[in-house]
Amino acid sequence: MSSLLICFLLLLISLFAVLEVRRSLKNREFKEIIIASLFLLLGLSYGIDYAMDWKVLPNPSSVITIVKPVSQAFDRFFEVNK
Amino acid sequence: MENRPISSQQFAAMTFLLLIGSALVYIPGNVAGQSAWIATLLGSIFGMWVLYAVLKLQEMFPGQRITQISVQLLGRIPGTILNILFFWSIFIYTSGLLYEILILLSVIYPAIPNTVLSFIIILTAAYCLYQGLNIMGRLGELFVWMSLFLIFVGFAIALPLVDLANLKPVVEAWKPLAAGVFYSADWPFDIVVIWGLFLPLVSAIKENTKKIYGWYLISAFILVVLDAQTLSILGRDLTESSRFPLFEIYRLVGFGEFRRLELSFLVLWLISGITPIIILYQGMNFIVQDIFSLKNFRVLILPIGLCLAILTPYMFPSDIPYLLLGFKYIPTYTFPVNFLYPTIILVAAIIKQKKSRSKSTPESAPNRPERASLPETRPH
Repeated sequence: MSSLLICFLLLLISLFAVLEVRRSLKNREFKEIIIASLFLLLGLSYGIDYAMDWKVLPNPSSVITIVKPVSQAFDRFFEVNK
Repeated sequence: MENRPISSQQFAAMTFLLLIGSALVYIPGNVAGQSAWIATLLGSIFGMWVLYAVLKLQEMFPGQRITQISVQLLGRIPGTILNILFFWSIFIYTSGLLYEILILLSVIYPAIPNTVLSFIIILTAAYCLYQGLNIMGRLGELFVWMSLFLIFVGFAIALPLVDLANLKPVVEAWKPLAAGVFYSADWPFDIVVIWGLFLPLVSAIKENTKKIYGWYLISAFILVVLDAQTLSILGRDLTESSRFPLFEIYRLVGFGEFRRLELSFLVLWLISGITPIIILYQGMNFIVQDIFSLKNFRVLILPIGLCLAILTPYMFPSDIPYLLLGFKYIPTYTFPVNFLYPTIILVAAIIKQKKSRSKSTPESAPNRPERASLPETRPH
């Protein structure tokens, strides 16, 4: 599974390089390319982390669990049993 | 004549597919038990308000996306903070929707890993976005009647299984009903906030506002009817425990020797599942474009798609974390953001408009600085 995932990551990076990098550089859209590369780097880091099963990066779902106390209070008050 | 890529007819169809697609896989407001259909009905009022707010903002600031209006009205820093919160809300919403589709697809293709299916869906959506924004409109126009037909056929063939006794007592207690209203308002109705990003691309909105509200109400009505039908067939307990209750119903129906009719309806799930993903994915591109003031969003399509394809299985490796996060914690975050974001901006816009009106004297020309200082729209 990990090799398949890495193949997909490489495919997406190649597509990005072919479709966007050349065009953006030609149009001198440097800011666009930097922001896009940051997102690409983020996706790539998490992709490798997931493929290799390293689990060294923080799980983004931990951001959602900030609201856990509110959610629990809501469920208690409204008698939600899920 | 306005040169905008999406017609109001196409936009109305997209509204239908956005709501139906977001909610077809599960019963909105199922925490309300057998009163889930009432919860869905009441939850649609919240979505109606959000739709009103984004349409009103578009009327006040024509040609501007909600993310641009927020920065203009609230200031650079507060506006950007709100936009980031909005981005995260849309991201986790899309991620949840993608996960639901992945689970459904893994039932049909059990040998293919989720990450591969995730990439296939994202690459399909990215291809659609590369084709241009008018393709989204055409897609909506093309799929709306097919989806309506399949929903109607599904409803009709499952009608003999209905047992209305399963819907009683109608409102057992108000607290679970209120919780159901909250959950159904969050998913799917409040997601119409995404239209705040697409309205500048729609032609003749003012003339066709009723059509947009009309399709919203049709979607809400269909969801209420499907909720009631599902609950009356499966009953409260089975509806709550089923992963895809509507899919279970199509499994039960059949004529004589003809069984496994649910496979005929998979096209409905694929159409109505992928359309909201495409819309929300494009919405995220717009938000990032506005947060960083980029000239075009095209360059963001693949990187954001990659983040979506990877972070979905990363955040939700299995059903247990998904059910805990998606049905408990995520609504606590997404509901306030999706509901309050357009509300705060609309209130700020009204206050600013009143202030500018009170400043202008009867002798002077009407003072409307918001419209005069609008930057160019950047649909592409």
